[in-house]
Amino acid sequence: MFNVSSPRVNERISIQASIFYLSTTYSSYTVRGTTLATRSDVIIDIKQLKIPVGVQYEFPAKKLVPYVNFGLSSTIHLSASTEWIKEVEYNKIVRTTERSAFEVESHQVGYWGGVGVKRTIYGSLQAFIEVKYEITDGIYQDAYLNSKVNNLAFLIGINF
Amino acid sequence: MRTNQIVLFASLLLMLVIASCSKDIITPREYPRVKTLEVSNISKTGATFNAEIIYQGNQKIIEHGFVWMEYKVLNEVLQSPSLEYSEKVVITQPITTGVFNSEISNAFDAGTKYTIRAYARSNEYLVYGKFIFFTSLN
Repeated sequence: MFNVSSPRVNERISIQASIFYLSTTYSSYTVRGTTLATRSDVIIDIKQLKIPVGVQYEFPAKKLVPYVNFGLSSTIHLSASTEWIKEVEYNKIVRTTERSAFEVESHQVGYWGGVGVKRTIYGSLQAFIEVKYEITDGIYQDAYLNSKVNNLAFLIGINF
Repeated sequence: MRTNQIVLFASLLLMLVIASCSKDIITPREYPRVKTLEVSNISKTGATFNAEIIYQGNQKIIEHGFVWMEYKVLNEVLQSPSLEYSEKVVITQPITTGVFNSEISNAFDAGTKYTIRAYARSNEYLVYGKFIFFTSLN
């Protein structure tokens, strides 16, 4: 993750802009019926570039500096694929079909907020721990079905 | 400065490692999972059928192979090949997981579209993989 911070607004308020790459795989498994059982695996694979932009406020403290941040995020899908593996079982005979589950949107837009603490460890190096929560408009929308993506991230890192 | 460079390099390395760790997760079943792969070496009357056993399930696979038939749609329903009603190749050599294939010759009419699917049979289950299509050369 590359994070650029510009503390020009105020000594405690800074503007944050980050960019990071994520490769995520989501999967689901459902079973319907017993005599005629239908088992479905849906696998969604997305490689994405996430760009959160926001504001950070640092509370006054000497060693451990707590902070909160919030802002908007844009997520660009570099590549995305979905696979729906459906198996229908009747009388111990299983028939498989495989196809694309749906077309993933090209990007997501969302908002995020986080809390963390940081501490200077050497010169300009600062270690930080942060919890960040993000809600986006999801990866799929149409008249009948829509999605929302909620991301919870625990970050441990060094700013320099 | 040197410390900064080391930290930057370590961070980039960690990002690459994390980014490259991805794996499809499919819930295991009691029965084998068979994936029909693309047909290769297609000629006028022959081809090589390919498939993969992704996992074997709880029981030993006692037979595997391919079934095929000429592409047919009846009352808007695609007719899919089966062991009972179609042409077939039966392999009884033991297999657990991995790719298997079968060379078929003098079995097709030139320029004809066919439906094919792989299968695997355990003591309890018969599992057909997805069906795919190919057309023999004209």
